Amino acid sequence: MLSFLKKPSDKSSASAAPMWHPNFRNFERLPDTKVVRTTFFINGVAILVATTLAIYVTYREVELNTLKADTDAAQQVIDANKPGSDQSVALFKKFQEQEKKIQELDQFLAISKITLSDFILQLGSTLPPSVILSSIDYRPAGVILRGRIKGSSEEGAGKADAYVNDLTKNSYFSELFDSIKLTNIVRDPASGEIVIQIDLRFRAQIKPTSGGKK
Amino acid sequence: MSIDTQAIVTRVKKYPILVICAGLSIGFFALLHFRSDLAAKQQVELDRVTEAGRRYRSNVSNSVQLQEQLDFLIQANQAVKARALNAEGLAENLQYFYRLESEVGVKYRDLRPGNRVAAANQAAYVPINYTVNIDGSFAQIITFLKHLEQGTYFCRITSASASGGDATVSLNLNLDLLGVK
Repeated sequence: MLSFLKKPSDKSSASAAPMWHPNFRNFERLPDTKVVRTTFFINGVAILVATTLAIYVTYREVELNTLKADTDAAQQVIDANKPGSDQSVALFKKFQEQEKKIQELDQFLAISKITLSDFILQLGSTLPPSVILSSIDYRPAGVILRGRIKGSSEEGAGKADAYVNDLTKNSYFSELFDSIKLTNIVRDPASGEIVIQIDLRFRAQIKPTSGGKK
Repeated sequence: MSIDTQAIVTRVKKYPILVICAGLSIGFFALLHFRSDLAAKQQVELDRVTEAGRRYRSNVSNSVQLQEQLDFLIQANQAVKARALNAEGLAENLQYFYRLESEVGVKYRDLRPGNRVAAANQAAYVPINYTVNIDGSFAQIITFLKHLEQGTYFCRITSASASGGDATVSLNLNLDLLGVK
């Protein structure tokens, strides 16, 4: 009979219906009836966070200690090498002072671009019998040769050209000079011989071949 | 004990693990915060010390033969100094040219010291300029030049002019001899 009086079980309608008496239950003091209690999760998360932080802090501290150990090791290397290094630096300063003197000598000798005696001898060895040099002018920029061609003026011009070609092809002169040119060629009215002038211009950068060797 | 404090104590007693973990976490955070720049500073210090150590070590290793090289340079410079004129010894220096004249057989038409070039303060050497005009045979002129260029003192010829005939050659030279201050 009672089952007939009882309303059918309808949870949604029951929860929506107003309670018929005041609810005096203290939910905080009531036991947690869930299978896994909320406290377990809260504690688990707290322990996880604390453990993670502990691991991270430990890792950082170990890293810091490793850096300190490496620094100490490097400092020991410095302590071991510093006296020798200081001695080497002092020695190197003395070396630089001495080196500077050698460089001064090198600069002094570099200005002279040819060994004049060798140059004149080379010039003499390549001089054709028909060419007679009357003067050699050596200047910082180059050398000017003046002379005359023996024989008739008709042949003279060709011989002058041939001499300039010989000079240009000669390895000694071609290494020293950038250009070797016949800059003047005239006939001397008195003798009837051809008078020539040859300009030899130094290369911009040539090795110093000055004297000073013994 | 106030009600609030009592409530807090009750809560702490209810969740002891949570409270301990929270306290530890706060402590760890504080530790991380206050020591966060230590690693970076230590790394900078390590780099500095490592670099200095490497430099010191390379100084030592690079200077293995430095003493020998320095000794060699000192000897070389002593040899150079022995082949340099005294910049102040005007009369003494002229004797060198007169000695050359008598040895080679050339004749001076003109021999005079040129203007003194002011050397730099730190310079060890100074050029001593001379104008030399000589007459002689071709062989004598070449011998004179050889003596100058490969002789006792370091010499550089800055300009030269040679002229003449078959018997006599005239040579005008502008040259510098290496002088020591």
